[in-house]
Amino acid sequence: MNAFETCALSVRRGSRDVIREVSIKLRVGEVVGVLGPNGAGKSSLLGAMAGELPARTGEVLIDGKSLADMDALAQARIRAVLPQHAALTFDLGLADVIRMGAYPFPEATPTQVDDWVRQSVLDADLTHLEAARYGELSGGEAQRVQFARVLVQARAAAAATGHAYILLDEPTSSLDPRHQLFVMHRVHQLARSENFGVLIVMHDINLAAQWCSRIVLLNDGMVASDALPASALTPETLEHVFGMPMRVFPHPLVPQRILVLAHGNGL
Amino acid sequence: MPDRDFSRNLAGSHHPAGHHMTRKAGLMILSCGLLFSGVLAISKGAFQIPVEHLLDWLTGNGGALDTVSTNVLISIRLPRVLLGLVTGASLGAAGAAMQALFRNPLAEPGLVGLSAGASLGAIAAIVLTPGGFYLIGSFAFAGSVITTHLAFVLGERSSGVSGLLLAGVAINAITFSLMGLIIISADDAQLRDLTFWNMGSLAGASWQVLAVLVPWVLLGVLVMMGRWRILNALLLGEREAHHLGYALQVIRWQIIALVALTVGPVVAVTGGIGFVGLVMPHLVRMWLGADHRWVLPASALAGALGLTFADVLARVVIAPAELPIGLVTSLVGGPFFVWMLLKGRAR
Repeated sequence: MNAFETCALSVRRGSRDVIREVSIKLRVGEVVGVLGPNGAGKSSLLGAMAGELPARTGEVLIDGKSLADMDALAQARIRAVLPQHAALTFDLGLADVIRMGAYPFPEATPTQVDDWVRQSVLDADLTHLEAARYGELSGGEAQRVQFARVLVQARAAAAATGHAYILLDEPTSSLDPRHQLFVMHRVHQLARSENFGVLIVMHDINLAAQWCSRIVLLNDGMVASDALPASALTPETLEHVFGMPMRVFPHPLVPQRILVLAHGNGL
Repeated sequence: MPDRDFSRNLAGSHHPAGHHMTRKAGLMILSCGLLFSGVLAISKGAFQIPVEHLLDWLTGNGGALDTVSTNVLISIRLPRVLLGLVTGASLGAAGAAMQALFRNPLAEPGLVGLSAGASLGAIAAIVLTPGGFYLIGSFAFAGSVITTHLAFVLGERSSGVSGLLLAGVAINAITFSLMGLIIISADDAQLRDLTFWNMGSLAGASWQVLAVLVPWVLLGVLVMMGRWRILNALLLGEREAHHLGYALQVIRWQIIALVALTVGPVVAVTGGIGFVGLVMPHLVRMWLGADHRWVLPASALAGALGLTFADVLARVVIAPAELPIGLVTSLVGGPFFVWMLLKGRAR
């Protein structure tokens, strides 16, 4: 059974258990949104799944294999990660940065890599910037370049294994509204068309509600809710997790989806 | 945010045309320059060997050189120029690799105590043993490997690069004070040797030394050049490099060991030659961009080129006497580096 999962995972940072007994499952073809207030453990969960933070108890499994038993290269060949902040200032061509996604796949031919790069450039809406140098880009453009790099890695992994997992840490944080939608829409499409399982840590509840197939709500290091957006994001759960009243409406434009409005002054 | 400044400097502030053609042309230009400076370095010095005679000799026109010239050429000039080439190449490539590994433009082999360790070993050999080339060389090599290893073991206790840097600072301080202690007990003749070794010199060149050094260094530089993907991935950040499949604990060790193995034996023969490993990779990045696929070979070529020219200067300026080459590289490289820093700031 192909899945990327955490089993009763606890992660300790300093003297604090930032993740406690978290069991979630990311399947191929799914886009799972991880939401929660600051300090809920979103980034720690992502860090543990990215192989950066060790599990204190429990474990992380990729396709049934413990992450702890896989070296960095084996992990990179099945799972791509987009961290929150990318280095901005070095002098490489855009394509050179995006091609790095294929570094873990030395067996890929240049033609294959060119192909993945071309598709990923489209997926990140970078066509008009292709000739630019990375150091000249704005923060949002650089974020999209990193997104494209991650897509190349996932495409290469899917070519090698048949599927791939992607972890995205706030991939839309620096993007303008159009590109926020653009990227989320592409992620949604690619998960199905390319056999990607995508886990996204984000803050925008509505973006997640519209484009994710499932929502994991984290609160104080534990899973408060793990279900379809409409079931996970109820006014009661939202108020409990975020500590403020929220109202949930059927999405006026997208059938089967919901729209969440904060209702209150945040106190 | 110092990190940002670092990586900006590291990346070079220029935006050169990023075509592979340009980079290949860059390598070609460097190679031609190297050939030119090599011929110049063989020809110039206290004893001049005219370039046209040299070219005749090279193309097989026997009799173009008299016996004295041939002797000077074979037993003095050629080994010396070759030593300059491998020294410059190893310093240039190692500097580029260290700067990428530490994500810090000030990194060079001296940073982790490598050069200081070699100096301490050499000084110990000069003062405490009968001396001689082989003893000094092997002591210096051992010193460089020990300090680099120490810096690494100490640095490993804290995560990231800062631990290693701090360990390097501490080891440098300790090493220099130990050197001071040894120097106090040195006599006048030893002191002259010490000073000379410390300022760097290519005078130790001999075919015996080169037979070992040339293949060793070339191999080291080639292996380093093969690691360009890792160094590129490190441009993105340590986490990103890890996500691309490079286990940093292993990589860091590999590259530092590679640098120590490549530069250690060279420093053991030549003494401390500053600024080549620092300045050349910067120049190369400003010119060709930050892609290590090109930065590494270009830095090796540029290092060799720069050191060969420095050697010519060292031999010509106060001929028939000669300056220590380390003095020349520092005299030229130091102000140049300051100029580069100021220029970078003005942008």
